[in-house]
Amino acid sequence: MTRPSGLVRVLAIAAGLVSVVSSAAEGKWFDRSHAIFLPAAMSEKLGATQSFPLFWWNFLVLDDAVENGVPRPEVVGPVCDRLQSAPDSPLAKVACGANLDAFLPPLRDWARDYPLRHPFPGRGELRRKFSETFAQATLPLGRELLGVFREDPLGSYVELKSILESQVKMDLPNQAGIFVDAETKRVVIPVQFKSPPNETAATARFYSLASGTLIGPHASTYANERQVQADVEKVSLIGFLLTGLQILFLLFSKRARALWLFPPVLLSTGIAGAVTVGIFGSIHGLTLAFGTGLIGLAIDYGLHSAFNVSYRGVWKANLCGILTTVAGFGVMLWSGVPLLRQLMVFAIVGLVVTYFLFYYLHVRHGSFFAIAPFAYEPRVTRARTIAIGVVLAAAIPAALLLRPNLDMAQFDFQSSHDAAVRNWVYPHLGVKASLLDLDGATTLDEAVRHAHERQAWADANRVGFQSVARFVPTADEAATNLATWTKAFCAPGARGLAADLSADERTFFGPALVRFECESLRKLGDRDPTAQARAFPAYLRDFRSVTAGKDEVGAPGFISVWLPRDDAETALVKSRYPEALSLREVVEIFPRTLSDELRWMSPLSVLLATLLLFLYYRTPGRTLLALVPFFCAVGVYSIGVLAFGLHFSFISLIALLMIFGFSIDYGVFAVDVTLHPEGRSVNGVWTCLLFASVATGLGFVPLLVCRHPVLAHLGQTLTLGTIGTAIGTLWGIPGIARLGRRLGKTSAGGAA
Amino acid sequence: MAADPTPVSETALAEKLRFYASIKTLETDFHQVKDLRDLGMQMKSEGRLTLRRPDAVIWEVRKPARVKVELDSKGIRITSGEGKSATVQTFSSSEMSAQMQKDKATSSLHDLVAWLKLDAHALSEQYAITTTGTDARGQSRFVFTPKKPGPFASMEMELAKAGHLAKLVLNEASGDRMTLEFARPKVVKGSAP
Repeated sequence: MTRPSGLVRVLAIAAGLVSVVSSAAEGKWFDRSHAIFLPAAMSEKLGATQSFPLFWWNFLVLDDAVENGVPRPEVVGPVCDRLQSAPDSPLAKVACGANLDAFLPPLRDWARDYPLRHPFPGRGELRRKFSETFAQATLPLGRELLGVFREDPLGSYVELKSILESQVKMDLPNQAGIFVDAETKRVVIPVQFKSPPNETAATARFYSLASGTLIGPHASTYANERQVQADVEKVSLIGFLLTGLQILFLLFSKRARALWLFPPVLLSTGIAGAVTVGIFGSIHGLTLAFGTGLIGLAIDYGLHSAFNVSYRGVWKANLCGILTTVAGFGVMLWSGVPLLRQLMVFAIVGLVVTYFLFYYLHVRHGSFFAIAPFAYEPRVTRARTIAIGVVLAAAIPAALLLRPNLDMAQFDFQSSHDAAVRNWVYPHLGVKASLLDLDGATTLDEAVRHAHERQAWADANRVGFQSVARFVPTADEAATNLATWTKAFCAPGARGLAADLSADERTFFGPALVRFECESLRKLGDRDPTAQARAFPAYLRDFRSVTAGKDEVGAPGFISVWLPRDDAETALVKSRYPEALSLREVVEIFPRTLSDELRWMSPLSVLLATLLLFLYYRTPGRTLLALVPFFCAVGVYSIGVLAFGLHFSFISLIALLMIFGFSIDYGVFAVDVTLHPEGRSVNGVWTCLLFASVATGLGFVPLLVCRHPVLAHLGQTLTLGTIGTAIGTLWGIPGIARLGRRLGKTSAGGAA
Repeated sequence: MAADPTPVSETALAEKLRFYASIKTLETDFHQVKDLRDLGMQMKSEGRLTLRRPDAVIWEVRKPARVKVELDSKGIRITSGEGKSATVQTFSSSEMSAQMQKDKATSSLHDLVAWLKLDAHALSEQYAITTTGTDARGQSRFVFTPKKPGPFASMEMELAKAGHLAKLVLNEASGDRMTLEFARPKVVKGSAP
């Protein structure tokens, strides 16, 4: 055996490139953002739950926590204590008791902006309010409240607390922030996280502090991530065992050289990754996950050659295979979904590079890769041919009848207990479905103006509405209010507020007094957008995107939420503000967009592939024959859906795309060897197809044990699709070819 | 020179607090000085304290401004000002248990109300109690140190010769200190409901 020196270099380059791609995965070239799912205009809506702290609220439900209509202190008390007191608590707010900690951060800004919300009450009234607050501060109310009094001498925190508490509504009795249901003996504690749902380390920390059932975006994201991790661990273990068995089989059957087919694929994957980063600036995690599988399919070209090293015609069939695959994938380069475009660039580059690498290596060093085929040739039987007929017949109604289920809720993994609790909580919220209303305003003034316009309409139509308008008056109103203060404290010869207070009051309220000085009041009226951005009020944090003005140019800065109580109110809001979308509508934009595109791209891909096959074979019969494995894949999967109620989702569509990638290759190889066996190793081609089918199938089978819906749908579609492709290739093409020959003879005989 | 502090038994404490054993309501004026350690200042106030057994307390500050705090089993209500300009704040809801109401803002008041019941048995269970005996004026001095951490590091109580509460010093865990001096109370005897 001669060892090609180039192979060592190939391996070294492959390792290097894989290493570069891996390190890029940790750096800025690795993309995990949601922006890739949709065109920019729609993508920003999808990111709302991550960007706006308003969506970082969840509900902690404690079972068996109510006795005689009141929360059991031994159950609720310790949970509240831990959530509120833990030094590294992941929560910004916990609605447990009248704890003021949650209101302290925004209070300073709220108190600062008092003159914007209220007109100057007169010196006497102002002095009286200061004195009353000073008297309250003499009570034994603890250090926290003392801090509140010092910051907020006019007692405006009561107003802020009232607005903040009104944001979380349920139709259950509220006892100090906690919602109590005497019937089920459950309590519901609203909690707001400091970070977005995708930062699951914070949710893990939450679970270390509190038991119970968490319902909301953080809980859902965490549960899904955990299930995916658990599934991936299972898949990895089973995959490892199956791969081990395949390697052992190759070793014991003296066909270990097949393992040398993997380094070129790794090298191509690295090159495809580098090209993708070069074009798009980064590569998304999903591109790497799905795209690597697509590039891996190119190993079939190597296998085809390895079992037929002496037959150069292999590379003509391989060329036809890759051209049909590239044509099919190439159509999707025109997709409006950035992820699909990136995925296709990655896959096409990887496939083409692999093809040329294999071609170079096999032409130059064919003997090194040569693998002895088994004495295998599929047997044609009547039963198998009938089975193929049934499968192909199933594909026709499937193409006409089956429509993918686009409901994204089906991909939300939940335990049965969590689902039951969620179904109990949400009806108590008293809202049909919140409608998100994103505002591209770049300044607070602009956002406030928009919000007040909507608030006026909401009030007139008695529809619930949450926005910055609850907190901030209109610009005109604010200017009018502020003018009364500046008139009192900025007029020539005007005395400062300190002159009206006692020495003790001046000492106690020192920090707050500065805010009533002329210079501070004038600053408050500064409408310069830059200055506003610096002093953005903390009490409006929930309504402003955390990414606004940072890394996503043009991303909506603000959000408002409509709270319709029924379908009629929803329709009313949408008739006036059609851009308002429910969260469900937002998350379903992606599968709908994808599905709409695949509706015209899939037929076009098949058409282009068919055209190429026709150019290759020059007869319609052979062209259709090469498509039999793909139609069988669709047929077997359709039988699974129709007969066994399997899922057909947009994930299934992506899986069928992968099936399309290799089923036509198999078809070409099988048609060639069936119709033109001369000059090639018949056993070699069929062994290649058997190997490829089994290896591909074994790669997908572990996904069947997954519980997460996305992986389960992938597993079902890919496994059934591979089985369909295999029987279409190994039984269908030889059987139909023989049938065709018999029919041809009969017809010729009859004519004679 | 003050005598060394000696522990006080529940029986001895009950004997000292017998003045409060049979009262139904109690009203007394007070003068208060609150020392704020961090600010290095004193806040002076005066007002009236009303106890209604078993658990209702009205803490009314009259100077420097009027503030009324009403505490009972239903929660806490703070009224500032008078008449139309009065503002009312409620800190906890009615049905919540005492433990649930131990939020940071009102825990000091809750502990104080519990203490003001002056139930010798409950106090002995919750506090380590010592006394330095009786001074020349016949006043007895006691120090209450909580057995569990709470808003108060300790409380010092002086009982007048007649047995009523004459002075109370609240040493807050934060380092702030409140000193309350009470006038002779107006008492209505009778058993608590």
